[in-house]
Amino acid sequence: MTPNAWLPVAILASSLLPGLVIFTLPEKAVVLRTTLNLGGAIVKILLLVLMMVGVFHGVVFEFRVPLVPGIDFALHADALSLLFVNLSAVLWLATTIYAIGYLEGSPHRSRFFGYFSLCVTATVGLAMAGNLLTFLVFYEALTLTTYPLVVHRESEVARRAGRLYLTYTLLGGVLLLTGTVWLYSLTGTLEFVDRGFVSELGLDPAVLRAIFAVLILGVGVKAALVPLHGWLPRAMVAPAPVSALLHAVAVVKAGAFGIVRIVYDVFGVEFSAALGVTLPLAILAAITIVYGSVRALFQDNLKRRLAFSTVSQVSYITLGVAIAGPIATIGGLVHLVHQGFMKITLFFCAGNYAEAAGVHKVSELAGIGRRMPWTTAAFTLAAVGMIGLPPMAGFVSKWFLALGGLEVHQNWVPLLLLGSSVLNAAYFLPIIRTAWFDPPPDHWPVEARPGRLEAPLALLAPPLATAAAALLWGLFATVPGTPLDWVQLIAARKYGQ
Amino acid sequence: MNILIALPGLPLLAALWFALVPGGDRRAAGWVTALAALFPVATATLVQSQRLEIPHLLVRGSSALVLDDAARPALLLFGALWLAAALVARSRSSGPAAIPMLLALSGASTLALADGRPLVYASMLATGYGLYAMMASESDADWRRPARALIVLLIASDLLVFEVLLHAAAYPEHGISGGVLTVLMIAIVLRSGAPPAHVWLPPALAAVSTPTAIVLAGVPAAAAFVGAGRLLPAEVSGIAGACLGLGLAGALWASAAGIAQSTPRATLGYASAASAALLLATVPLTADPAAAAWTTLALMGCCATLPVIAGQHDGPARNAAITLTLLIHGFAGAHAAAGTWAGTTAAGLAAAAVAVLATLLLTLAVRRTSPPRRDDGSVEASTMAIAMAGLAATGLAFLWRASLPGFASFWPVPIGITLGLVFYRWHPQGTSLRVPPGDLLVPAERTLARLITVTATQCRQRLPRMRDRLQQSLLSAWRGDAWAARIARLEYLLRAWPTTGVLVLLVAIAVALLVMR
Repeated sequence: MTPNAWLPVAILASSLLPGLVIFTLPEKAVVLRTTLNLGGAIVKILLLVLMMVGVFHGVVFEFRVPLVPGIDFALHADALSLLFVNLSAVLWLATTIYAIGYLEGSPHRSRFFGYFSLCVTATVGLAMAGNLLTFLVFYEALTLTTYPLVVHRESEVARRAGRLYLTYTLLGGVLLLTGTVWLYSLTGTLEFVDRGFVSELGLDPAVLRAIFAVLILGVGVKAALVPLHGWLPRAMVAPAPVSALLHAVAVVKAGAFGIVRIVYDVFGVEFSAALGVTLPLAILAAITIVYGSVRALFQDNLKRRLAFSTVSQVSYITLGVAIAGPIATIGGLVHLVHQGFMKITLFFCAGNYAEAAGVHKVSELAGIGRRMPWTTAAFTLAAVGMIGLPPMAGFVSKWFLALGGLEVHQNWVPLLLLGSSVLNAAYFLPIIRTAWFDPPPDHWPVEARPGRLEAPLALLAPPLATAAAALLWGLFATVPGTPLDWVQLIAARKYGQ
Repeated sequence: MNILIALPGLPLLAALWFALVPGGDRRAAGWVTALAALFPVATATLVQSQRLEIPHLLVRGSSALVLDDAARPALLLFGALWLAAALVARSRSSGPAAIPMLLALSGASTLALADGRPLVYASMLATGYGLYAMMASESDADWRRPARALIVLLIASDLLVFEVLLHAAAYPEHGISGGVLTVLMIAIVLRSGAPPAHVWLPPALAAVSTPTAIVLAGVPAAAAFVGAGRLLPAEVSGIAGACLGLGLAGALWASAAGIAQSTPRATLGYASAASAALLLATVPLTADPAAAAWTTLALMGCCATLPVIAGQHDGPARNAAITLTLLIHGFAGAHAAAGTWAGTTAAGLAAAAVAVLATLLLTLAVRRTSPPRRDDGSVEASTMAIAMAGLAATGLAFLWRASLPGFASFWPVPIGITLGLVFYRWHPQGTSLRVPPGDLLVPAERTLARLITVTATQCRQRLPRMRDRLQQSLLSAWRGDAWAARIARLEYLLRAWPTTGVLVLLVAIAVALLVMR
């Protein structure tokens, strides 16, 4: 094996090894734990940069060992996988910094950060999976490593949410396993290939449609497609860094990424369209977009409102894939990154409000902008981006999605996006208005740090950084090196252009 | 830093400074805002034409900031209005906060210079939401209802503009024409305050402080039509008739409602709406973009002068400011109407009627504005009102320089002013008759509220019940006792079915036998 083959393993090890060591650390070993956390995150980013340069220049990074007879455990770094690894690695660093500040002085931090690292390992492994079975392995690993994070608070509500989460995601895993076995029994291969491996085998279209449905339902649980989304709002009992991780980095993104892989690298986008499965998928995504936004409108709990917003926003990725055109693909895939940065900002800010002022509800946010102006500024930028207004990154995603819809003569897509923007505005703008312009109460529910107006720096820096990134990627979307630029490379390869 | 970048950048930096140093003195904030507002005025006056390409900006990668003949009037207008607002605000204890003022100024400056559709769109958004934020930062709570209407109109307009930009990008060979052009004009009307999208303007003007009123009286319409100048294609003759018809109907509507008002600010709101209707009837059809921009400056500058005149003591300065404002507004409107619709008599008369109605309403608003008590007035207001009227006069001068005025540019002026005076005599300030300034606001709000209630009921009751049922069934998939119950039910069913079936069969046979006998 060449040294290049070990790079994917090294990138996994950069979070796996610190994670395993952190489990063994006593609670008091704060410095060592922090060093391991941050060191692992930084090493991962450095390795990632190395691989991105290589992939851009056509270098192949592939690690392969036999897993079961006929199928390898394969890690393969292509442009698409590195997009997701990039998102995970950068946001892992931000979330780790945030979590260090958020959990300061709380119990079970070694357990938390251990599972946190394992969760990111599973996400990165899932991103770099070279075939469907490897994908399945990491998909299940992700379920099992995020469960302890969801129930971290050990309350009865958390346990119930954890059980529900496990039920949904394990059911999804069972469906994915069923689809994988069924497909393998027919094709004899599970390797991800650009433009798919199913199209040239001459299989019965009805069977293929059924397999497609089973696989999509399997990953659709994590992607929170309606009606499989029920776990997501309940999982909001988890601490804010976990919510951020679930919504922006790991779980829902893993589901959306799974849909991308199945459509592009298992079935092939053109063949999927020929099978007639992309339109139902697009309709399901459209229903999810509208449903999530409508439900978000009526949530008073801030994190629940954000959770339903995630249900809606993640389906933009599915929609972009299902529209089956190069421009829509760009819109969908770039939203994978843009939504991640914007949503993680929102969850960080929600965490800050809860930590610094004990505010959990939208109705309690009146005047919070005067007390926590920087947090609220970051929240405002991210919310504006979620609505899809320029110059934020969300505008870029919506622009390409709508343009992609018009490109393939799906004229309902821009209308859907406009409707969704209206709903997004309806549930985000009142928050912004009340936070900035309503008079603050005489006393906040909790004065966690008397005399301090803002959250501490460790809690403030991550949302400001991610909000700034979302702004810059919207403002200078076409600069080389931005997510949009990378996604254009992916679309060119997936469509053979 | 290039001066064109500095124009929107400087207010942003000032806003950042105020964010970093909270609780600053209002007077200092007013001065900083005034300095930031002076910059566009100085740039428009002193700096030579130039263009700054900004590659890789937003999605199209072909944006630029351009200081040309069309940008100068817009910069002058926006700068002057913010300058006046900031100077008035610095001496008051209430009024808009500095940060929203600066953000809106940054958006308006960008709009004046923007070239490239996404950049124009972004700056229109920044200006619109900045204006909303200015209203929202007022301490008086009466802004809420009109602000809600404004935000709804802005969002609707933004979505339509987005749709137009998408269409232009997806089908570049078609350009902006036909139905797309109509959609764009609707979007412009929605954000300009022209009837029927004026519902928020009179109550807003009645609710806000003088600094915000100065900005609101002139900027929404000016920003909308400056944006239209950047977005519309050169040839828009296909919608000329519709623009004129809508403009005339809007001016009539605004006049009917404006005459019936009792407060000067609400009347001013209708005067602004009528001026926006006049712009709608003339500006999109003006071949020369610079002339269109000077028309906008003259008309909306006059409207924005009125809140300042309200602070002037009675005397020669006030009379001069009023006279200048009315004459400039009248001449600019009549000249625009005559220049645009010179070809056809009927259309020319209709456009002149719009100009007459707009001037009529402004006259009425001025007459209803009584001078302040001796100790309330501001000496600065006199200077400021004359300066603003002078600014509008500059607009008129450039308009006349672009095309020399004829008889048609004059005759509507005395008619408009005289009719205004007549209506004031007939219906002066303080009478009890009052048309609600919202017009369409109440029924629209009721319908929306009903819709929201129905949706909320669905979301809060039915959907959670369905979700809980689904979750219960999913959870029961992992519980042994649930499976045991399920299997027991199945077994019972399977056992019961043949028995029931045989019984039914026996009954059926028995009935058949009975019937046969």
